[in-house]
Amino acid sequence: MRRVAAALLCSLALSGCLYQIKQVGDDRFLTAPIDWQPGKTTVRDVVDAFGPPDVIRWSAGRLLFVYRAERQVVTSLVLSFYLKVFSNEAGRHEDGTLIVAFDDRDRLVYYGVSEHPREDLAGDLGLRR
Amino acid sequence: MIRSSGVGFLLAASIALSGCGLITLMHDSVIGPVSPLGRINTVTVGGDFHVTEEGPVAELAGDSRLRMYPRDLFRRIGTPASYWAAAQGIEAFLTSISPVATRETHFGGTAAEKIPAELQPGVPVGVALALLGPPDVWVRRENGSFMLYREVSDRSWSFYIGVPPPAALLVPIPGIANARFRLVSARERASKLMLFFDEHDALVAATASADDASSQRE
Repeated sequence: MRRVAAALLCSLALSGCLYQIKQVGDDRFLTAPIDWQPGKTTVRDVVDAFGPPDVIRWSAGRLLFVYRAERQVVTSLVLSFYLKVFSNEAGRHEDGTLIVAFDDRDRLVYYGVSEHPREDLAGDLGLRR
Repeated sequence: MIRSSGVGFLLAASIALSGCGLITLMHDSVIGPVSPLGRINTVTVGGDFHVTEEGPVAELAGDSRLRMYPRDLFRRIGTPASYWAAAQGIEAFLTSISPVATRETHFGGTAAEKIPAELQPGVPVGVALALLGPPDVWVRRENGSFMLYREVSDRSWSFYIGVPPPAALLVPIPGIANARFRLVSARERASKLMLFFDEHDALVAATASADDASSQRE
């Protein structure tokens, strides 16, 4: 009886709710330790560690590898009763990026990595900013 | 008399069901935010009509909301892209009312799925091009070159429990349309293959990544 009541309460609490989450890209670079040395690390070392990059840019004297990971969350609550509609939608989009720059000899010049996107339900629901 | 009243009924029905009719506006007002048809009035009178995974979409900027039928009705119906849009719309509708749905979409070629067995170190660049076709990126460096092949796959699954919006109209219980919950999880990943060549255009190494796993050959 309690389980039935709990299920009914959960159903009531979740009425009209939508929770949509989308993850783009391989986010290994956000968690794996990076121990690269400028002037020593090569293109092959980087590719061996994280696979081929998502984007490649190059110009005279510079070669840039870009790795990307995105996390998008949309939550909404839509309740309708006769001709009245109550609607509330919240969206969240976080990017994680790793940029690696090489010189003409394909040696590392510098790199930068962003923070790992937070994966917390409270933040997704707009309960925490 | 009967014929004239029939014509009048049909006329009234077509107006009521049109893009600015009473039924349309009631639909948009009551279940528009959750309807698999979207907001019909916006789609009818708006421009830049197209269909996405979420259903039909149009821009309303600067358009009269009282237009009964789309300004470009014949173009929407007559162009071949409309059939593709219709197929997408049907898929979006079926997805929206299905309790569990999975979807998988691939963009790009299939070259990046795995390293072909013929690609052994020392193979000339012409063999790689013949096997895999032209790459997405080919960068020439001082001491050689490298190629990048890329294929994107989009996988999603959704869980829906509750009364579908169209069916809720038929159930005479106030607020029954609210008894629903949807969970959607999507993941977009790129399978990539990178080939390294030396200054003589002979293959030195190949690295592929698909999902969480990566493989190498050198």
